[in-house]
Amino acid sequence: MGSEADLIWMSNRLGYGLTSNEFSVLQNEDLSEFMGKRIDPSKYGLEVPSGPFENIEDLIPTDRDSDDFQRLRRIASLKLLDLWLDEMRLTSDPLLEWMTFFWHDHFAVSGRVVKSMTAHVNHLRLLRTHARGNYSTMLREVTTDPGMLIFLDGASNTAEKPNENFGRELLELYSLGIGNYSESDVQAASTALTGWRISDGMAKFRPRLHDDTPQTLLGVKGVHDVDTVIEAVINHEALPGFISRKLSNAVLGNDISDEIVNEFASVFSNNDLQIIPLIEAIVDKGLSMGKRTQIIRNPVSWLINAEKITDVELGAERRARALSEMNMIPGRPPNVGGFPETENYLSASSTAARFSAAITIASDTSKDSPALQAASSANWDDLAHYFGYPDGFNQPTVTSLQELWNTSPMHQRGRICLAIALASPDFMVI
Amino acid sequence: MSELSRRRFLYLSGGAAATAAGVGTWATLLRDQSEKGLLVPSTTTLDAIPSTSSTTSSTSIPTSPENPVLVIVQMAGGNDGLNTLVPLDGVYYDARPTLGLPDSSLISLTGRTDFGLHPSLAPLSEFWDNEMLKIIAGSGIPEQGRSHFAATDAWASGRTDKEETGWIGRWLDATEGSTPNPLRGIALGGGASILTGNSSISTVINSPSKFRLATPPGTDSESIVLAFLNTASPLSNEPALAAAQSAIPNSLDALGIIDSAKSENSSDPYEEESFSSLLETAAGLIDMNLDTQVIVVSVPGFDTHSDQLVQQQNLLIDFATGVSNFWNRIESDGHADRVLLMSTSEFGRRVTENGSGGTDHGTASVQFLIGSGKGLYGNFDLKNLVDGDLPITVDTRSVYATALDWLGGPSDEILGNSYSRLF
Repeated sequence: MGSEADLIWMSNRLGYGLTSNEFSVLQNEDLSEFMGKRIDPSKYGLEVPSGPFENIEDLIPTDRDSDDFQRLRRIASLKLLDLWLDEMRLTSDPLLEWMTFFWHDHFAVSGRVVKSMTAHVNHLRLLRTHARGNYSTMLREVTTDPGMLIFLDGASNTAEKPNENFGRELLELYSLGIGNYSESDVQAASTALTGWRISDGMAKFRPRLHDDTPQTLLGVKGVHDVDTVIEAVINHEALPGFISRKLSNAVLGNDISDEIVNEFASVFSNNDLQIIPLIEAIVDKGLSMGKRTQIIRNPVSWLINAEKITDVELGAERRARALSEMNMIPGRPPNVGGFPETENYLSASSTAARFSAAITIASDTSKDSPALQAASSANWDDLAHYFGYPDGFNQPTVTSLQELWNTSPMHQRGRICLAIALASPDFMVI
Repeated sequence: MSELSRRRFLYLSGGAAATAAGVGTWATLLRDQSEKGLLVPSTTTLDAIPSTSSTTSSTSIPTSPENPVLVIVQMAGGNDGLNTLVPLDGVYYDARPTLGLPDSSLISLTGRTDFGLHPSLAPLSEFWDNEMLKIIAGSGIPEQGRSHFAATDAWASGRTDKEETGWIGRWLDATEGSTPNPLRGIALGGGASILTGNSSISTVINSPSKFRLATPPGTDSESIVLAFLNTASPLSNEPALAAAQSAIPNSLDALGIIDSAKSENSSDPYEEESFSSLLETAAGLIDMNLDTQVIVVSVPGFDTHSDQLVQQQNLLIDFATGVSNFWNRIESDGHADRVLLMSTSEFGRRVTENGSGGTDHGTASVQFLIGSGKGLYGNFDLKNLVDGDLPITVDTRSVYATALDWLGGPSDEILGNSYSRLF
């Protein structure tokens, strides 16, 4: 069972909201089936989209010596960002996009470091392939993925002088968290992962550069290569809880007790680190909670949801500018820890940028847009409906909208009020 | 992923008092600007608050001058102290066959034969010769670990117990006046967690060159911006919503003043902020006499696991140029006597280089203090490495204590301990 509010909640927490059309369709849906389809479409025989980066090889410039290389590279990176954001907006499978972005935040491979666009795109494809799959398989594949080998220097990790960059983050960020491993574990993992190189864009294992000496990693003896490293890591008791905490925080907020997260961890562990059962457990918990904690949304979620509500597509340049000003560019997490906690997007600069972007989006909104029509006629309950607030906007926002509407010229007031609704604090929390 | 979320939340929520003050400040400012005809549509920015006061210069540097300003420059990612302040020591050269910087390339420090500066740091030697540079070698926080995040938390809080407030945030709390001023603490680029307090609220500008407020052409900008502001009060009881509300007056307050302090707007979405541009903005803010007391400037990229020679060189050139230009500016503006600049980084790097032309995470690093006399403190104890790492010879918090003394304290109370002062 589920109510409209439940469904909107799930669409915001594990997706990028709903379009005005989707809100209309909602009226006639069996909500529990709708949610089931959102979590696992293949179970319902629905096709899983192939993703935004299927035929993009032609876009990526390869001739580094060309005078035009930097310009073409810039065009290509804007185009890739645009395709990715389009997919978030238009996909028939929002959870797949949301989970892909979640893993992008988790592994945080950045285009700042990975200059090869092909390697970066292939990395993102890999995340999408495993986004709802099995975490141990994903972790194994990511470990020798060329994008990751470049990002955390696995591709220059060598027997003679191991590079600890990946080995440390594997334990700290990708599996166990601080307190569950020692410095000697970092060294053991790094040593066992020596010898990987990239050749013609593919990861190649070079035995001569590899130190095959058996290591003790997390108490497991005989660890000597990538498979035994991953095996030791995924069998560690801290992993299910660490990953469950991270996903739970992203969906339910940070206030969930350790006890509840331990329940998620048991589900994750009992299902052999399959990601779907973990998502189901977290969603079930979210739906059963009487009062759900509000969380701050990130700029990508804000932008895509704003575009969906207004049926506006800002285009590559303006999307990039808006996201850059709000301080969150997909493909470019600021550091190895990924994007910061969403509260950081309430900075002075991100807040001003959100206002500016809201103005741009409202200016571009078609007069046929149901949301704009609601704003033009000062029907705040209707407008709130398209924003996904069955109970309406908060009082300060309603008061402010009404006053602005009353004092603005008739031909402008709809768009102006729509902009304020998009920029409002209401729309920054989900 | 991080332990910081709650503290950031606290900080962003601020107090209702701070928000109310912010609204008042901004509303007044808006009215003033509007009367002056300075509210410009399309890419509306609120123009400068006129500079009113001037500062007298003095030859002696007091412990805590009138209206002190602390500028904290963060080298985020873990700066390699050994290739910043290079020890002329065989152990260093043996450990760094490809990364070791040759003696002949180093910038010498007059009177010191045991250390030289990275070749990109020539501007710092002028500060040294002018008795304005203190260097702290081997600085770190015991037990901070080699994790970026644990170390950053420790450097931000000044503690290793997962304390959620930053050491400057606690100072802002303790010294908050009856009218809260969110501009007392400003973070430019990053580093906001240092400013996180329980009651005080600070201002965070991720990217000054992209900080703008656009309003639609041909409309009444003032009423639109005011409507945005009005969505912020009264504050909700929901913490997340209240934090989103508080951000609005905070942003509008900051927008009014930052615009006149910063360098040109950038239209390139991928352009990164540099020390030079952020410090230029910092100098502009100091000259506006907004009662700003702490400015944090942060630039990432120091996590040099590979290709370190080029990466660190570029960063240090930017650092040295930025600091030098900053100091020239505040000197000519007459503020140099009341500014102390302190560099920090979450940790140093391993003594022995790795096989990628880089260095892995280590422990002790180096700090620079500009504006308070000359000296070299601590040491890189290469003879007594601990697990391949430099032992910490100076607890970073003793440097924090000095910085807090400069701000007027109460330093020991803020740090929860009485750390011995180096100088």
